[in-house]
Amino acid sequence: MKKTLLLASCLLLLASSAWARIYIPVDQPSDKLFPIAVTELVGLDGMRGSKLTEKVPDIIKNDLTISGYFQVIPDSAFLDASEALTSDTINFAKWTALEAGGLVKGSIKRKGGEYTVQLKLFDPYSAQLLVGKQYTSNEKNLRSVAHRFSDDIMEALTGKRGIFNTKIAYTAMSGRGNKPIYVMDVDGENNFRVTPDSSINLGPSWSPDGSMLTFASYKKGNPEIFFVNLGNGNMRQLTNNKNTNITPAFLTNNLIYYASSLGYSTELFTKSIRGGKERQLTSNSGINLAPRFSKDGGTMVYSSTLPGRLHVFRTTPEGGLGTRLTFVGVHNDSPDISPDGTKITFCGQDSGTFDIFVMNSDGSNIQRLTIDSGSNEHPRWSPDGRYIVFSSTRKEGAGIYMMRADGANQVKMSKGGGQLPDWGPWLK
Amino acid sequence: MYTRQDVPNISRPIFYSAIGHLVLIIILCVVPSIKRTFSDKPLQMVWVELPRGTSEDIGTGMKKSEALPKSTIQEQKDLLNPKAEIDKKTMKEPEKDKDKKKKKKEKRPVKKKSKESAALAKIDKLLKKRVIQPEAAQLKDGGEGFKYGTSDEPLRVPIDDPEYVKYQAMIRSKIIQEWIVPMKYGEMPEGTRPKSRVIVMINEGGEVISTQWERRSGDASFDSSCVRAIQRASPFDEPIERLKWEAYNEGFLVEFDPRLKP
Repeated sequence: MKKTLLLASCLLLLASSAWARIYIPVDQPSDKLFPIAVTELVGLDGMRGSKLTEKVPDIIKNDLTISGYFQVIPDSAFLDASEALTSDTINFAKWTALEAGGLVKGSIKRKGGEYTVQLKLFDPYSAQLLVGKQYTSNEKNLRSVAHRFSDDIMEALTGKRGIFNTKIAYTAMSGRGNKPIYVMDVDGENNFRVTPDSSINLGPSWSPDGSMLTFASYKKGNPEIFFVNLGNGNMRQLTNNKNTNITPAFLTNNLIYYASSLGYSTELFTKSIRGGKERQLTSNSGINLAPRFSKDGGTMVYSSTLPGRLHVFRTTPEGGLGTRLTFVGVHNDSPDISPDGTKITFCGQDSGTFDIFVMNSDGSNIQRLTIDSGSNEHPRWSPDGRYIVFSSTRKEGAGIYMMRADGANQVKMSKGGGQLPDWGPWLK
Repeated sequence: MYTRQDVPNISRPIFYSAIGHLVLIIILCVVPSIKRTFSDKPLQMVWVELPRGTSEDIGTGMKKSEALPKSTIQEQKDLLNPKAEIDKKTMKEPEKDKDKKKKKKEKRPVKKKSKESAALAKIDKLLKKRVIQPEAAQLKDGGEGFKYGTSDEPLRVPIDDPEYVKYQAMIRSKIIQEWIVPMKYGEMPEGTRPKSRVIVMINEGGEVISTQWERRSGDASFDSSCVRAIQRASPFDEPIERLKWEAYNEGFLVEFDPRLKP
């Protein structure tokens, strides 16, 4: 009896206390961009007033803006113009008053032709140094120094290394009937022409180690597959069958997959860059093209007209009968698997132009990322899986664009036009 | 060495303590002003699925599109959470809350019933205004989907009162909108993510008057972002009638536990 009374009273007390406070679970942060301030560098040893004190922070600001995660606080809002560079001397209250969640400060000095750049990222609210780096570089490579620190900021504040030191390969018009392959930085700078010839070159695709590009070229009259070593510019022809060979992609650094009309239909083939005979992977009398692979090399996605119109399929790199993934829309093409293997992006057409979509890797939950902005095609994941690069013919300017994987922050990357982009891997 | 006689007999004090507690509980139940702290109905647990993200839409799931979806993820988000323009000089959003507070204070003397439904009205209004439905094609399980998150699981809240869930969702949404935290916390592996709990007290105007740590994460940046989010979310919406006692006397227990956000 005594025990029962005791238990009953305890249970009643527990029940009443469970209702005492209103419980609010906050499981995810705001969509708002993270406010960050990037100040002009302090010029040391005769560098005071040099344009380089602005150039490096300007590159970092641009990187952070196009990242889609940060709101860069304009210099005009700054309340503190001091040259303090340590957590002991910086007046953080003047930065928390601006609600800056991050503060980037640094210095630059020159010795001969070399520059020493010191960059620091602080958390103004906890008055802590989060990242501090010192780089030595010539003037030409200062852009790369700024990108490196942007990557460090991304890693410190988002937990994932940034993509600002990666490259984008794409095709662009250059004169009549001439479409060379270009490679550019993520911010559109350092645009470099890869193919010197005056022919049509299409659909560049990176090797996993980032040392080579493969593409289709009309150099010999009909489209054949080529690959180029970016280190020495050495270009070689992979196919020579006088048929249509398009949409190449590397599976490994030695093996290229592509679509070819070698037989009666357009099927997927693979061939080693070291030579040998090609191997046929699909055989279904339809048009099969645009193969892409998961990072572990275990899954291949491609598009096929097997259902009557182009739709996305999935199989292994061994080929064979693929699993159909898309059942809606008129045409779905150019699929690409995210680096973590969980998502597939593709361009789909339902009425008129193409737009970019994303779905789970099993084909479920298709969601739209672009709308009412020209034709948006050829989506490719960034190496961190946070962004998608694609080509667009929108009225703001046709060219290469990037966006966050949820479709936010769509920004133009190329300075001019461009098509068929591919995002290169992180270089070691 | 102890003998049995040395050990005090505590069974009698425990018995008196139990009787005392029971008497106290009976008194608390009988006094009308305190009676409302206990539920009249038996506790009925139901799962209410809140969509992930900052949406206030409760349990309506995702529209199954027969073709490729017509609206983008961003359009679906923007409709429910219109972004306030930021003043580039001060780097702050326009202070709408002050006007809101004044209006609230003026509205207070009006009918009691309208107070009770104030929390519900806000969400209903937002839902009526919606022209773009959250949609996706090729959904799993006959139309169920999770709008913005990358997790396969919805946020499940066990509660026996839909009005409570709606009020909870409103406060949650308001704090989420103000919680700006480095994204790394959401992407840390399970088990290493910081978590914190804050007890929040409000006055009758809904303004936050105190915050007290129930559990700190141990990470200064994370903890300060939690307190900032609560302060920026002030004033909280007026609670429904049956929650007023808890809201004003016991306050809120706000738990911050970040997850991956796309």
